Amino acid sequence: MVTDTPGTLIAGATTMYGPDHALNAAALSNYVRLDALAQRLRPTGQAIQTIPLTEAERIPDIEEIVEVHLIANRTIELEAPFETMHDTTEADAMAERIVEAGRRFARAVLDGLAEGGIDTDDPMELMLAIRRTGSKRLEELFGPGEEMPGRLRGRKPVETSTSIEEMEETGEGHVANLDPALRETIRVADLRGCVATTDVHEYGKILVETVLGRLDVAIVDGGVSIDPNDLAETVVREGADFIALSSYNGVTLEFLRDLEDQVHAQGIDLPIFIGGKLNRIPDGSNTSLPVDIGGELAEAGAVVCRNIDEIFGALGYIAAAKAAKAAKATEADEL
Amino acid sequence: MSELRDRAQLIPELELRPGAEVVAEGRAMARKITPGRCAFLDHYGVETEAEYKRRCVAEGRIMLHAAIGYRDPFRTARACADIWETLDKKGYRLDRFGLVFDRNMGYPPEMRADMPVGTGLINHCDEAWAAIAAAAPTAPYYGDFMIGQPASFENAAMAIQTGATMMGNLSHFYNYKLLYMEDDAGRAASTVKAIALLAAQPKEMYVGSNADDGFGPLFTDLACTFGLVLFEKYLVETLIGARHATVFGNMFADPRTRMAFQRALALVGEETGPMVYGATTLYGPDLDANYASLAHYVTFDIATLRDRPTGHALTPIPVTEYARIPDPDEIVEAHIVANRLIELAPSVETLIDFAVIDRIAMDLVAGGERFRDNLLKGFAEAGIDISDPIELLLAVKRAGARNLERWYGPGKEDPATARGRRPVVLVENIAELEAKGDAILGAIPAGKVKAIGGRGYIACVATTDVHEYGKLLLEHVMRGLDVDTVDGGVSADPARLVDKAAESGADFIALSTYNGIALSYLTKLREAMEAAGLNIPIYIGGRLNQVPKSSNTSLPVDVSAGLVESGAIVCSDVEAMLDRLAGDAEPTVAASTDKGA
Repeated sequence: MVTDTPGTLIAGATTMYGPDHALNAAALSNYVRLDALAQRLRPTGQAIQTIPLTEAERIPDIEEIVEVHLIANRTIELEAPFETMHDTTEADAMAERIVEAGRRFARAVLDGLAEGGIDTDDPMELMLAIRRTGSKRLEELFGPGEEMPGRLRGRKPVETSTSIEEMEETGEGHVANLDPALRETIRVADLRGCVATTDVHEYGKILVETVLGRLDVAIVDGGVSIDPNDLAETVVREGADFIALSSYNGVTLEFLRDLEDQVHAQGIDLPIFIGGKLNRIPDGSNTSLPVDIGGELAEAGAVVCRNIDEIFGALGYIAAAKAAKAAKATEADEL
Repeated sequence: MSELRDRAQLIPELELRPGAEVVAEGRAMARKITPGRCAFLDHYGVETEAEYKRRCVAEGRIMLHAAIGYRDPFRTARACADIWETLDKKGYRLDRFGLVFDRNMGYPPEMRADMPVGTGLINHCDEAWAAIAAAAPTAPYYGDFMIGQPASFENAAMAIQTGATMMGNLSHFYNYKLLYMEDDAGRAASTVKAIALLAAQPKEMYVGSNADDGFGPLFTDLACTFGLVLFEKYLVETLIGARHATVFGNMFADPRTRMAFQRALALVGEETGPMVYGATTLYGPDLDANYASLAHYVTFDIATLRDRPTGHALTPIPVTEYARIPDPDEIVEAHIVANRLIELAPSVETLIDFAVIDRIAMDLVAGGERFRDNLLKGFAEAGIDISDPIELLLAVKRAGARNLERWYGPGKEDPATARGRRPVVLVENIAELEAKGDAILGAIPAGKVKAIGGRGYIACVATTDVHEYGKLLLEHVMRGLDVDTVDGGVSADPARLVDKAAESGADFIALSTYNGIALSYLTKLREAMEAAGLNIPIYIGGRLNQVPKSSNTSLPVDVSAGLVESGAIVCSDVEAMLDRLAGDAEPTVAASTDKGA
């Protein structure tokens, strides 16, 4: 046992959600069933969070919250017999591996930070050190998985996080379906893309990075929850050909305008791809429900990509432009 | 009928057509009636659905089945095409359609014009059959009101010629009775002739039988249900030389028995099962609860079909099905849910201990085999010719589920149980139904119980169609209230129901209806009552709808107002009926209270 402190809640598996409510209903029933079984067999006190089917597209209204709770309650009733026919051998083995590796990771982080001169008895210092190192570096430096160059984070995960695994698979799927000629155009252009998110939600960024990596586009890490001025600085310093921005929390329009101002102030102009959840609560709204602002973003100069596939076309365009520019430069040199 | 000693108890006829003669006649017809093609067979380049099923099993694909049946066959065909296309665009495949005939299709073609019409599909011309065969690359599966009904042979012939290679539904022979069609010997002959026609086809064809539609739901021991499947295999395969495949699922709400029944079928060699039906008994008026139910049974069906494939297609039932005939969008939605659950299946299946399920499956097979053997031995000893399929079908049907379980059930004798035997595998529905009835009884105020019970009422309880649960529930509640019940029959013929009510001195008729014939049935019943000079209240409850005669949408509408106009007391549920009953009895309560004071 790691702890006997009662847990708070098990958050719903929101990464399984998308625009199709029927698919979301299937996802909901799937995770609620498994969460309920887990709580029945080995209660840890967590409440099961049920995510409204509309969550991926908007802030759910009251009826939508009630609806999923009715589904969840009925699911819990119906799945009671599961308790009499379960086999958790595999899940238990996985739990043991996670606990063992997790302990190793915690130890390695504390030892590593102490070695670097951090006072690991000071909670504030520790918190700052962890935050400023960031999850990526922490995993690279102290991850319990075997080192394996070429893999994400440079290690073979003890247990691959399913979301990241799914992201990678999704990304590979998109690239696999790409027109080979377009793929080649992008590959030979030797592009550099700066990838960032406007808020804490990082999956969109991981997906974009996976896709760009497969296309041999060099990736500049623009950061997570990054400020426009910091991002502009990174872009200029690293000489990126474009910015790919992932957004979720409805702050995109203000962010975009600010970013453009900052970039222009540095005397450069480059395409900004923007994707994710492109909405905001309009000023003066009385419903507090966000509306789509794709049109406004495009008007403000962004390349709006509703999905990953739309990035490809834009990339092809940039690649062709870069190639043409390079050819012109060569021509000029020769002259 | 407590004990079967003599053939005459079940087969009093002095002369019955010999089964062998009927089989020969059916087989001979295969020279004229030969297999046709359909869009499905062409699209996948297969000879039969069975061939396709084996291919799916080899590829690790789970097939999907959707039930459909709008009154108008051309509308049905259009809907099939739309549904298939919509799912195809989303990257999902629909493999087969279950075409739900209206009861009217069960009558021989020449009688159909004069017989009652419900809400289901009616293939009124050859073009209708052809349109459905061509509608989409989905295997056509005609289930209801086919084999087992008076028009068994005619309908099977049309189905074969328009590309169907599996068709239902033998189990309907036992208890799907059409109004005004009393001749069950004729029906048995038509059924056997149709099966023989399938047997003699040059392709691998199957007679489907839904274990949940026939006597299945009336056994308290699931091993009897499974035993009847084995009996049917003997009848269809050994006696007639055709092939038998099992459908089940409507009545299975508990994932353990549900998965166990499928695995028991695997144990006896089923590999091209038609479909595992949705657990419709889990559905109710609340759509959210139905969503949970849908995902629930589908999840476990997927798990066992992946683990131990039997070729059965998955049937996601639209969440609106309890309230109305689902429209195409609702069918599509349920299929999206199911397809997503197939994708998510690996996360659930590693958590299931199939050994627990397999123990139940083995009990079902062992108990089922005992039931089948007891039945054949018992019938043979009583003088029934167990090599004659017509005699056997009649004997089983006429004995009824209760007697079959009492006589031949594999459970140990135990006088304290409903059927005198301790079930090998208890059927959940009967237990659930009794619990539901007890809950209703428990919630009735004592005053009302006294008011109803104190009147010495006799209730004549009947159903207009094959759906018996409402009747079983009502009888349970009535018994709990000390109201005597008289069995008015299932799919009761109006004239016979009136006779029974009159003979028994019933105070009222309680009618449970489901299949969209409420109004026309009531009209017939009132005519019969008038003719017999019987004037007692008729309480009616259930699904009170009907497709209007002039309808162009084929969708049923509520007919409550019409029922009230025709003089029935319309009850939304059992509680409402009790309220009305108690209300009628109130003066008595008042009087007795006065006396007490």
